[in-house]
Amino acid sequence: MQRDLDTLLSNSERNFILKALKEEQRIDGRRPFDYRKIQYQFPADEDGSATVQLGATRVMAVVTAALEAPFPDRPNEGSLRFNVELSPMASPAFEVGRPGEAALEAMRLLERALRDSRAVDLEALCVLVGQKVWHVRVDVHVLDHAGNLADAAGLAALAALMAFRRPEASVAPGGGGGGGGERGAVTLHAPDVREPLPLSLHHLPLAVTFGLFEGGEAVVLDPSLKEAAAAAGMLTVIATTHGEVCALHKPGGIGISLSQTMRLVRVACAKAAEVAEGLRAALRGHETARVARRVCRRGAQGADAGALLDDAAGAVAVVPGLGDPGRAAAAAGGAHLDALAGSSGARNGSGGALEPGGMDSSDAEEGSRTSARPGEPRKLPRAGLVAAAAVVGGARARQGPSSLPEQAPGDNFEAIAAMIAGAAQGRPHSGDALDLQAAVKPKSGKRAKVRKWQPLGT
Amino acid sequence: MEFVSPEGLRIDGRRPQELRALQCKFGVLSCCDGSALFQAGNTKVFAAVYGPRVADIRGQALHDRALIKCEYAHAAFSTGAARRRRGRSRKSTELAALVRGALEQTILVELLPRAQVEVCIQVLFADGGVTAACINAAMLAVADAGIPVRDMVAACGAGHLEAMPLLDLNHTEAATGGLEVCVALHPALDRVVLLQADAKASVDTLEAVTTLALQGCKAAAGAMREALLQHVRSLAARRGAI
Amino acid sequence: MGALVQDTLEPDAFRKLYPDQYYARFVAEGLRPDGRPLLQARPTTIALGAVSAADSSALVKIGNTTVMAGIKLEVMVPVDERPQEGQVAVSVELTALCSPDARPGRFSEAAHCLNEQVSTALRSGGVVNLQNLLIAHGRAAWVAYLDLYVLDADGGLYDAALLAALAALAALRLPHVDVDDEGKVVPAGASDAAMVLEDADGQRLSAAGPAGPQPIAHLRVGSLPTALTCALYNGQLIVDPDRDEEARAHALVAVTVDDRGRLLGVEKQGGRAAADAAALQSCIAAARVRHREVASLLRQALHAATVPGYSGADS
Repeated sequence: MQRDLDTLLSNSERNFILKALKEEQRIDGRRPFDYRKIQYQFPADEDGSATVQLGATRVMAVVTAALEAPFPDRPNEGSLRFNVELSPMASPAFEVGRPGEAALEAMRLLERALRDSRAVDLEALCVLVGQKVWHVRVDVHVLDHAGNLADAAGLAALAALMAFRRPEASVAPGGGGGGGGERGAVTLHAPDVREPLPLSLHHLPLAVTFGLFEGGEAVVLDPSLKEAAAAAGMLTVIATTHGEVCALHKPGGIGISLSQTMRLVRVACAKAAEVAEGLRAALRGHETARVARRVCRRGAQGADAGALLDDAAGAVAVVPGLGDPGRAAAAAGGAHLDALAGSSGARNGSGGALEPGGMDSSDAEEGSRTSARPGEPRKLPRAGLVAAAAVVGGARARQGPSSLPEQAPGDNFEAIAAMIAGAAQGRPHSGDALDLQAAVKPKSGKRAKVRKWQPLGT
Repeated sequence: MEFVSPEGLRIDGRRPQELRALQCKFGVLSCCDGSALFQAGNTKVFAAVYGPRVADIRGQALHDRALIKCEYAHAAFSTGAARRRRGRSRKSTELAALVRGALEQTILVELLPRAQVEVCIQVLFADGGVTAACINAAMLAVADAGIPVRDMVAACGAGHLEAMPLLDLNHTEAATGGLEVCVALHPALDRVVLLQADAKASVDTLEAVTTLALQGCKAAAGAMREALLQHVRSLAARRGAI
Repeated sequence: MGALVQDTLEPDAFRKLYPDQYYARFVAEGLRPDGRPLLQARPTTIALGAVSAADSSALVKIGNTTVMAGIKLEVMVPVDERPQEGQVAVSVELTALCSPDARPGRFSEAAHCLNEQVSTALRSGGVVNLQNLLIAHGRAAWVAYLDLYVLDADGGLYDAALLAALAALAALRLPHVDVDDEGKVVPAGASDAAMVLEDADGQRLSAAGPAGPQPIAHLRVGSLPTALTCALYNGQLIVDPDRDEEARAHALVAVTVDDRGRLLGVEKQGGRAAADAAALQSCIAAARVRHREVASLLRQALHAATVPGYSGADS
């Protein structure tokens, strides 16, 4: 292999690593097929950005989208582009301005995983055929290179894509089609008017990298920097959670037998499922916090309560953000989410806004770890939230809009909360506003624990 | 469009597990230390080897082994589609890196410290299986240059279309976007040196296609070896050794 | 002492130790190290249609020098000043294979010069009538991207490149196409061979070509200019030098002549010796002789590739 500054390793270190591997020991104490600790961070005020820490390797991915004309040979599809930046602060081997082969390899792996395998539905990005489509761009910045960039970059890009929300665009009906006639005008709705939409992902591809050592027998998963330098070859498997392989990448390096390769592929599929689970859990936490913030924003802006709840067209339930049919299996609270998805009232574009329905439990729970904005101390009990939403939806379906009262512009939040409390109990809203108010505002003397950045993760 | 007819013939008349006709020519270029022309069906690739010689850039020379460099270029008219813009695209760099990786495992680099072996590849007609053809052409050129190797390296591609594994896809078959696998193998050691797979498939399909590709590699290796032996015999005859 | 050493050395060793004297001795006898007389060119072969992905391709070998030409057709809108002409875009690339010094990516003077020489020769020789590349007046025309790849550079690059370009252009087939109402180019109906695009004035707009039942037309090539590179060494004229001879020559002269033996171009780029009128005249005469050989080879190759208009006989 070409010698780079980050692959320099003394002979004693190399011998030590190899000798330890013979006894199935790794220098950081892991077992051969163990991942390092994975941590996710989603910034509070941005959709579509994610930072992943895989052990000491740290990668940030940012997703942006622009509405432009499509490529001429694909008029009904959006596009997905990747750019990998290897910042010189990540490793002494990275130079400014010169991408180098490592960056190119990482970029190609991302493209193969997320674009060539058609994980992202590009046709759903089409707004107006032949005229306006969404061009999505993923920028991956490597902040710290401590081995196994491929996995970390893939994970960061995937997390960012799943967290990304694009503004909803609607097309005004245009006059006549064909022959270059008048086309409908496309309007982009601001996030506070219509809820931004997530990208639709068919499956979740994840990269799993193995380091191969002399003799082809010793194999480790997720090699650290030193292990990669001592390795004689690498194999990257991009697998989905359903046991399918999107891509295999073994660019030279020591030869291995076919049976060994297939065994590693199977291990990779199992590991990909585990990692995906962690990713989904982190995203759920992020989503909860996101919705909470959105509600705070709406309340603060004095949105009409009726508008808030009646806004059928644009509002979106929190659940579709994950976009993966398999997600329902997993963690605590999943059952609640299923209930939400199941209840038709909630789903049909109702005010799926999760009002902070704290009326069940007037105390803030520590149930979900969220990253709320400072100055808006709010802890949202997840179970309460979900139940409230289900109930709201049901209630609305039952009662219809006429039951929603007019309300004073000044006191919207309390009014909304009161409404929920009233709807939940099947009676007019005039009661119990105070309880809810207490629930959503911290009692004096009780400090809500809030931090702007909090690592979420498995 | 049907890729395998009911009689079991593909669009170019081959059976599903049949390789295209291979042709190897040695010593086709005069300026270099070793050169070869490799044809698999319509895919035509020239390869030239310069070396072992002193490294171009002294700082890059390695003290204990040879430096392998690889350049890849394709002709603007090499594909049936619109003319491809020249210049080093990302695909060129990627392919060059793959060929270099395969050769680094093959050439006995420890025997040539501080030397440089440069392999230049030019694709004239790309009709599917380009990566495999480049690796094979490079191997033949290295053999023509007389550089010591651990074992031959032979590469072959395979794919999966219409629920059937197909060996050595041509451009039309590969363009459908189904599973495509490229494998490079050391036949005598039976070790997979390079493995690239693209497109979603289950693990079992992947295994079936990869096994088929390995068999293709072994067949290609046999043909290349035969051609090489014949070339050496003719060389020896010309020099009067036989 | 020097004489004694020279007489006892083996030829190979002598060639390595005293290359100039080795060569001068040959030239003094009227021969070259590869056995050719001074005025004889290397064996030339032309192979057409090697790459079927290209609309036309030709592989030319002069001795060891190998050049591959390929043409790809695309449709373009003609420029305003010349609304009834297409274009031929020539580009030459010295691949990494051709010599240890050529490195792709870096700007190469030699490739640039070759490009200029070949384009000029094609233009001034009237090889292609650009109006033959027209599809619809002012709306669509063919642009032929002619790409030349030098695979092996062993002297005489310009000769080989020009010959390959000519062979590829002569064997080029233009599909019959029409421009539909939206301005898109669609293939003309193969069955209706007599269909012809006419504009308001009743003028014929479709691409020129034999109005026969075939849907494809060959590009009619106007003339076949050929080139010859000569080297001047020690006052002797050496025809078609190879790479070593070019490096050793005192001056290089490249002469381009057309079908009727008329002079299209003479180029002498510096060098260590000046060429007087007599030397130039002998270069031109040698180029005319060479033209007859090469033109007949080209005609035979085109005839074998069933390009109409070329009989196999020498003209």
